Amino acid sequence: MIEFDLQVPPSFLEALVPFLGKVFRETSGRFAGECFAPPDSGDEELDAAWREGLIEEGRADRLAFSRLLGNPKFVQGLVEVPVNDVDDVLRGMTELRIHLREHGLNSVNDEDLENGLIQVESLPQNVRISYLAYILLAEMQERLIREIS
Amino acid sequence: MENSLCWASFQKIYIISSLFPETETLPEVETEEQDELLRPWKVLVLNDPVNLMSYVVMVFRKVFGYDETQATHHMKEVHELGKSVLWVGEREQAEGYVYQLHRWRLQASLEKDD
Repeated sequence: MIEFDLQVPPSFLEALVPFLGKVFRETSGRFAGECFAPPDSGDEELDAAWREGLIEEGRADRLAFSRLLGNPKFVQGLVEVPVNDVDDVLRGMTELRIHLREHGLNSVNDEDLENGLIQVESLPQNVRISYLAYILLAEMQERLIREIS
Repeated sequence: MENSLCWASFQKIYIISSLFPETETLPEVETEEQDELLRPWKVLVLNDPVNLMSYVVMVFRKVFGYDETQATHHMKEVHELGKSVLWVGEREQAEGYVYQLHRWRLQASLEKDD
C-alpha cells in the first residue's frame, strides 16, 4: 500500500472532493474512446476493437480512482493506493485532468496552464475550483510517481 | 507485464471479431498493399498541456522499456519541439505502441517513415 499525506487544509478537500466526484461522473467511461482515435487503418473492425478496448480498460482506471475518492481518509488528506492500483489511479487522474482542461478550464490558455503561473485569486469562482482540482490531481500524480520510482 | 496486458486486451477483442469472417473468398492482397505493410512506420508522441513531465517519462519507460535518460530525452523533445519519434518499425507493432500510449492518455499517432 502506498500512503502519503497531502498536507492541505481540511476545508480545501471538503470543497474539492465533492467537486471531483461530480467531474468523475461527467467523464462516465466513454471518454477515452472518443478522444483517442485509432490510426487510419481502413479496417472498421480494428477501429471498433481499438475504441472498445480503450473504453473497457478505462473502466478499471475509473474503478481504482473511485476507490481512492470514496475512501473516508481521503477527505482528511490521506492518500492510500494499493500498489496494484497505482497505474490505474494515475490514468484515472489523467482522464479527469484532461476533462477539466477541456471543460472547466477552457477559458485558460494552455501556456499558463502548463507553466502553472496562474494567480488563483484572479480566476472567476467557477474556474477557480476546476483549477484547484487540476492542481490537486497533479500533486497526487507527482507524489505517486515519486513513490513508485 | 503492463504493456502486454493492455495490448493483449485489445488484441483479444480484435481476434474474437476476426473469428467470424465473411463467407465469401477474400481477394488477394495486392502487391502494393503488401509493400505498404512492410514499410516502416514511426510512432509519434505529440505535446499536450495536461500531462506532467514525470508522468510522460514514466509512460515512456513502461511502454518502450527506455531507461531514465532515454525517456527524459524523448519527453524533452516532445515538450520543446512539439513531438518526438519514439519508435520505428513494422506497422502492427507500431499500432500496439500507439494503443498503449492512448491507454495512458498520451497523444500519439502513426506516420510512414519516408
